[in-house]
Amino acid sequence: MEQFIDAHYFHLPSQGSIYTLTVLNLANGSKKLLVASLKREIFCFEYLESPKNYLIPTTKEVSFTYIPSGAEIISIDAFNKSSTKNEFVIGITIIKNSNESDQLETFLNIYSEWEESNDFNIENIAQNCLNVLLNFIPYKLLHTYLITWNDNDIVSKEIVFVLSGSDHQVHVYRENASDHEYKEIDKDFFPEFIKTPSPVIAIDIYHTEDFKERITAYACECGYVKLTRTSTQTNKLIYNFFTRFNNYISSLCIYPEKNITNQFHKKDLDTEKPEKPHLNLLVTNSILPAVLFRNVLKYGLSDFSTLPRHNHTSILTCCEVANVNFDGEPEILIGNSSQEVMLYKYKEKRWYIQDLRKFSSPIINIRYSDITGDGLKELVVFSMKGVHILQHDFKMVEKVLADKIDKLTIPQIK
Amino acid sequence: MRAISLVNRIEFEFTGNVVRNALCLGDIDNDGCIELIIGNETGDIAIFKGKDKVQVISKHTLICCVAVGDILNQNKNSLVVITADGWCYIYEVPTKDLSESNNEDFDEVDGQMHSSSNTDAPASSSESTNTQKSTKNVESPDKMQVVCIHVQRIPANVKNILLGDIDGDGAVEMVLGLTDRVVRSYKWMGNTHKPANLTEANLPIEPTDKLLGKFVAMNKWECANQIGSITLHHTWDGLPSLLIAQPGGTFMRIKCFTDDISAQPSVNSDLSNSNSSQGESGIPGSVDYQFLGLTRMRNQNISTEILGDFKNSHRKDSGKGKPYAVATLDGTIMLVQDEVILWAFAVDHQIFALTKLDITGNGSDDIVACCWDGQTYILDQDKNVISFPLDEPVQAFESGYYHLKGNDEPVTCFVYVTFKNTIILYYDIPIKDIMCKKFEPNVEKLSELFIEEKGSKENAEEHIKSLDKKTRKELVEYLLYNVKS
Repeated sequence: MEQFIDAHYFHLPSQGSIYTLTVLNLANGSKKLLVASLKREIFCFEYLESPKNYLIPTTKEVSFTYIPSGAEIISIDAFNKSSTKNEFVIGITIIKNSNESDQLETFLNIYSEWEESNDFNIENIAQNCLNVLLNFIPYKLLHTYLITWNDNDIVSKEIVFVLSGSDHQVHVYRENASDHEYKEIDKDFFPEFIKTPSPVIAIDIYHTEDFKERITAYACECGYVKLTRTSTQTNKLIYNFFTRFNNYISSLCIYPEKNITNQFHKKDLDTEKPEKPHLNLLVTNSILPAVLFRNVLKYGLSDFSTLPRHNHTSILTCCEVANVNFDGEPEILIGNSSQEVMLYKYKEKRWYIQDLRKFSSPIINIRYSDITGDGLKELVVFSMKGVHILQHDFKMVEKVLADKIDKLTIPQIK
Repeated sequence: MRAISLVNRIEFEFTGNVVRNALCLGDIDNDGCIELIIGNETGDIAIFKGKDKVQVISKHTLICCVAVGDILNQNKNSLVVITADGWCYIYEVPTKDLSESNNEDFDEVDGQMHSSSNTDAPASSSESTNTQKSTKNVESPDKMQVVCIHVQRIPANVKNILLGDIDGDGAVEMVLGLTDRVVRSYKWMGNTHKPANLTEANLPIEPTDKLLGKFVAMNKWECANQIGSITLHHTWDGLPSLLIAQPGGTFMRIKCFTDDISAQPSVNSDLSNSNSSQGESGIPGSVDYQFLGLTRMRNQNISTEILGDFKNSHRKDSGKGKPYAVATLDGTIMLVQDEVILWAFAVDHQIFALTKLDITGNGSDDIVACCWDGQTYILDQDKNVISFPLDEPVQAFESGYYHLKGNDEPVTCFVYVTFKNTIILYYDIPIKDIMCKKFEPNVEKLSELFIEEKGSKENAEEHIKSLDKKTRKELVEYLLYNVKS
């Protein structure tokens, strides 16, 4: 992966986990990273710009309140309630190790801003905490929409926290604005999470059909993977598929195959909605090869292919689907415990490892996101020791951009 | 501050404590490849080449300095080893390797050419040409073994070494800094009756015999305070001076021109006025102290490192000297030019080693400063910084170039000697620019999209320029990720 250049690295005093990296998408389009480490430290990373247009990486430790000393952070997630302004809600799950008894106390701490504002001040958010006492060990924390319908109109589209736990269940927490607290809601809203055989490790949720349907995929500790299609109007399962891998699954990801245009419409820079999404599901097994299920809406889990491995001693820990070489086709990035990020490319009807990049410690998470705010996305690699930010090689990007503009402007000869 | 993590590394095992100046990078076997030489407290010297340890020399006492240079002035490198109890050893690879490196240089040229070029060199003779001829292509450079060719008693307690031409006579001298605040300089005097050139056949049986020649003491200077480090620096017109770091970020400057150099009118008329008087009066050189605005800051007792002769490809202001760097243990790094501090940078780690390396390959030297806790700072001459955390205490550090394989280009490297009996060598440091920028699309190219709509190229360019940051960013993002190439 020569096209990536080390831009920055920041060190964490203690190790993070596959659940402790999240991206804050600010209303003005800029992005920040929020990274938590096991021993309570949480860092907010952003890029500032110097007068000479140099990027100044800035890492700030944020002291979130109600995380007692000795507590350990399991997972973290954040979302913006407002679409036009900043109204962030940050969820952090912790284990409190109380010495008096052998009992472990676990909490979901939810931090939020008092009201929406144009400014983003993480220090304020960190001081405003709501506690939810949990009676299980928390696992993955994510957020999704809870949609209320009235016939064919969306009444409300609330964002709720989804948290999987050691009690083999998936819990959904919804804000009760009047009481100013978060309450677990009834399991009926998310029927796909009923009867999971073991703790759920990874969940991904994708909404289709103008939010009328929800595609949920999740993986359990025992290797059970389930894919469901749920109607958000009736909260009934439309269908479900499941399969079982005989190993721990580290992550999974639902992604749409993109409709790429070769037209340039200046008017609508917002991508048009594809009529019929073509969804793929990528399951990253820890020991077995990663498996890609194609077009799951049409074929369920029957059309699959495996992604080859180049060694069989490492553990695959995370995946990201992104178009890192700008050809319009998605590539798959998988991180592993032998300190590598593998780049998979689809060519001639099979996936193969196109490239490898070594890092200085085992990889636990990967994101491909525009942290610098220049339109070009960066690769964020979260390793056991810290966070690496990799920028694209500008020379290569300039060439790609010039080629694309030529394609759009020079009339094609048929 | 930008930070990086490094991946490419080699770990060598090497036991024992290593003092600050007991490691160096240099080409000791004269094959054009740079090796790593390191000596420890118990007297072992190890030579690393590529990924292997090629030789270990033991049975010395505490090794306090190693250096590689053409100290014998034979146009080939030797290894100088100084022990704390006052022995100076010279090691060399026997001549056959010299012949190989010469073969590479001259390629198809036959021995005749060699002899003519070598007769100029003081050390060689017609006999040496014969030996070269006879030993051609005998051995691969992998089997390089150094042998001791000279041993000499010198004053004990040396802590710094510098090999370089300090008096401008074209020959390399050895400068030693001692723990008793004394700086001494030595010159190699070759024996006129010495046996031709060194081959395996006529190796001196006893190196102490001084068959080849000996070091002759030239000068002794006494400093007011403990010596931090010694460096060679050249003024803008090429006159050498020694800079001796003194506590508190100060230094002593010693100019030691030989008579003929300083008296030369051709050097420069306006500057040689001051020097020529010294030359004529027969006093070799002058000494002055530089305080670099000491009173303003700094603990006056803090130990200091200094490094001279920073290359700079950008600054073209003639009449000014090359910059030099000064670093103090309390974490100040300064770049100084003509005794004016260009900038100072403070870090909260204890800097103990100061090196230079053109890490970006842009023709200008960058400062590489290492701290006891392994934190390493890379600064360019415009005060842009990158840090690299090693996360491990370090007892000695060096930066430079290293050859991983014989025929490859040398790669940049950082060498750390840790307290865990390992040497960590990071190679091929992937830094192309010290600072990162945002991606800036080419306005002219981008405007081509709007020519049709805006009528003319000028209008289209104007349109692109008038776009606010967010719209332009979205345009770039759309083009890169949503348009088919």
